[in-house]
Amino acid sequence: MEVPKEEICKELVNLTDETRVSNDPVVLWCYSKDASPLPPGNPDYVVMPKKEDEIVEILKLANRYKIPVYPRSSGSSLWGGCIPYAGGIVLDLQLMNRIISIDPELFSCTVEPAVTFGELVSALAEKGYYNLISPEGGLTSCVAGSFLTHGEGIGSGLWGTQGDAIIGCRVVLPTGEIVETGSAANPSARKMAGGSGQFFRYAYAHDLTGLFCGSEGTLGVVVELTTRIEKIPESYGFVTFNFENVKDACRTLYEARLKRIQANFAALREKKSLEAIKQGEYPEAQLVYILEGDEYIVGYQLKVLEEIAEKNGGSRGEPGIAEKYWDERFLSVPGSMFKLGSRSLLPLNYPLGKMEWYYDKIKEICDKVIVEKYELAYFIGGFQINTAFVCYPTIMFLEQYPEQYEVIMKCTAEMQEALLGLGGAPIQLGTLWKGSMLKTGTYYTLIKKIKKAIDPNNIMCPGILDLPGGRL
Amino acid sequence: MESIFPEWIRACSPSGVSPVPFKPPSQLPIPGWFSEKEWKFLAKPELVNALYRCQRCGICRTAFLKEKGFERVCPIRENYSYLEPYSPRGKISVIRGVVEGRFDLEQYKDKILDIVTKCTLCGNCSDHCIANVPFYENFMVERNVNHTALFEAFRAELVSRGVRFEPYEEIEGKFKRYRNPYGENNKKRGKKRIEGKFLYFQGCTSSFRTTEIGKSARELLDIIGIEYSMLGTEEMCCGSILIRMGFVEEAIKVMKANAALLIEYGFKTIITPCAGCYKTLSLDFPRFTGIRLPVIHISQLVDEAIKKGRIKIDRLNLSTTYHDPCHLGRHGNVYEEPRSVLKAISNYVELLPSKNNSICCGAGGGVKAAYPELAEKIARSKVNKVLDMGVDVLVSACPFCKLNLKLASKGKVEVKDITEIVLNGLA
Repeated sequence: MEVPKEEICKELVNLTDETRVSNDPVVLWCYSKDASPLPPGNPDYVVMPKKEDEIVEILKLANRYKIPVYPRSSGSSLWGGCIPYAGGIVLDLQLMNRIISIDPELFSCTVEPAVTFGELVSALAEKGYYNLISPEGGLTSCVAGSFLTHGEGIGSGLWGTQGDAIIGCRVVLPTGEIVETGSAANPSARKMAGGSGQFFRYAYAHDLTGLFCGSEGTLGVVVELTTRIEKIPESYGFVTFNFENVKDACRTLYEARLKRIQANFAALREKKSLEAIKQGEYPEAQLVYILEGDEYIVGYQLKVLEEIAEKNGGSRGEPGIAEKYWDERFLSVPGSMFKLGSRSLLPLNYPLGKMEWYYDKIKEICDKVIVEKYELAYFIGGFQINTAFVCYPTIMFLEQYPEQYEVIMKCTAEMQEALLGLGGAPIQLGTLWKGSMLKTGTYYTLIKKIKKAIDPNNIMCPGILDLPGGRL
Repeated sequence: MESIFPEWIRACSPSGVSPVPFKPPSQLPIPGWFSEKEWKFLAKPELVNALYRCQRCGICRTAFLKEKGFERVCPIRENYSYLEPYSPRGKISVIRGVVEGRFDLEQYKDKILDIVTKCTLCGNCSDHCIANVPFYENFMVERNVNHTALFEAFRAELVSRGVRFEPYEEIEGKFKRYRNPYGENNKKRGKKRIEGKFLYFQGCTSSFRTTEIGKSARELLDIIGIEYSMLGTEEMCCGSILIRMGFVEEAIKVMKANAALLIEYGFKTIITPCAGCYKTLSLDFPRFTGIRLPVIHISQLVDEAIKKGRIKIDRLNLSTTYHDPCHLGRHGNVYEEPRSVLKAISNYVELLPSKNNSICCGAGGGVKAAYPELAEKIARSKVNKVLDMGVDVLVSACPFCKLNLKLASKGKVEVKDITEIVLNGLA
């Protein structure tokens, strides 16, 4: 059914109000890009819902007219997670930014989709708690976006990915129905347990929270999200170790994990990438550790960690580096990368115990593809994700040179193929990985079947995750 | 291979951060995003960098402060609309859209003007931007994306193309006729007196609107014992409002006329009670006229006078807090002196976020002139924070901030200029 765009716009205004809807080309252009290197894709409408009821009605309308819908919280995706390549409606969720409840007795806190990590960390700290994982871009990125893309960051050494930290979510499905996952799926939970009623992820058979985790908005609109919280530890331990080569640093990371060192965060930085950010003398490889726990435990673990590092040829680095990393945790890493220009980020997870081998291979691929073939620059970074390690080669380029766009996209595609060939587990796919997704076998077929069952008209984020639709 | 990084990354600047090289679009092997011949303001490499180094991360809208935690910093976004174009990164997108021809400037000029004029040019976004961009203008060192410089330059480009914004034009009209943006008779500025090398530059707002500030400032100068000159009817607007609104040609004319007076009378130092004049005379004036004279804000002078015993004060039995004017603080780097004065004279309480993180009162950048209700709304959110603190007096050091904050306070909290409160506290 072809309905004039002005009619759709009027209906959207009726569902919200005129200050929250636009089809002005100037406004729409501002929703055509995210923080990725991908080309722009304009929506036809933008609407800013304030509450769940409005989203329900908007999705019903979108279903009726088969209009694509792209939810967007902070719009800071580095992988084209919210670029509306099929046009349609951008659902700008920025007005849904309330912290709904902090429930220490349930070890959880519930937020609306546009609550940023910066906001959440501050609010929880006032009460003596912290959420488990906050990405380094957390000043602007939102909890919902991180959950929907397997986000990782500070805290991942101990807790894994954002998916591991989330207990449950409330989702408006593409057809307008609402589903609540986690313990709050039991209608009595809210009343009896109090607060959000979210205290445990697994209830009633399938892990439906897991179904939405990593779905990148293709299965509905997350309107509430409950994350685990913990008491801020009595003590933090900060230490850096310098190594003569990356292999020794990787071995230290693995052995420390084997000894169950409580690393909230453990990052590997290597010389050439550090040099790119700021001139100076750097070791070949450096591990930045942030430990947490009771004072006694942190002290003991620092001692054990030092022994492991020394055994592997490491020595204590300059004091203050890890502390600074922590203090500037929302600014330092994105900031240092920004100094090098715009970027195409390719995060994949690898087994922690095999990083000695993987890191070399990844670097080899970067040198061969990014530097030798495409003559571009790259930055490489990575940190521990509990028993795995995320390594993110980042291809740098400058947006003011249009010719670099074509090159960066070709280089990105080639890098994706090569990194997948190493057997890594890719996360944060959006549209950037279009063409490199797993296309064969039961895995992809099942994903498509799930999508079809939940979203029969394929209105949610067409084209994202290489699912059908989109015009890129 | 010795390094994985190309030359532009290794060629580091003095501060150790890589500058971004600039190639004019015409030198690029394929057609560029825009033509620098068509878009004159983009002949400046630093503005191209500002436009294209924005990564759309959105950190410009937020801050994570040691003393306060998370904070939202854009007054327009917080008080007008969360729609993307009204955020700092959104405005950069709009400018990119215009220069890249994504939409037609003439066809959509009303919307474009609506967006680019809804900015107080406070620069809080720039202070939190993490996309490092080198700047080479004489008053700027390497720093982040300078939204203020970019937005001002774009407004000027619009003016030069005849894309006019009515409320701004009204002010320009008044200015052309009266040499001040209020359309007031310059006789109200007071009598001319030439008595020494210190020029007391009163500014338009202290002359025509918050005259109590002009009066207190002059009294203080007398008490401190400074022989100062005043231009009286000959004083002209410093050019601030013209630059902010994009009337650069007109601003240069008035600055040159001011420069001629400075030379004619041989003034060596300028003293002003106005934060806007302070910024314009110390930063813009040298940029456009090549003349650089020491500029002192009255709060700096008073602080020095108190410390050296040139004026005696009694502590007042009241609590105060201080609103950092953007032009004096973030742009002029004057933070400590007003605080030092207030601490000496009253029970001072810091209004968080403060200093370079302080939230704009909402009056600047032409917002008060074009959108008075929005300006008042922004000021009201600031006043509400002050009311929560329960202090007796909200003090500022800018007549324009005082005007806006006082209007928004609706008498619920006393709003004073620093000169007034010092006069109250004289022994």
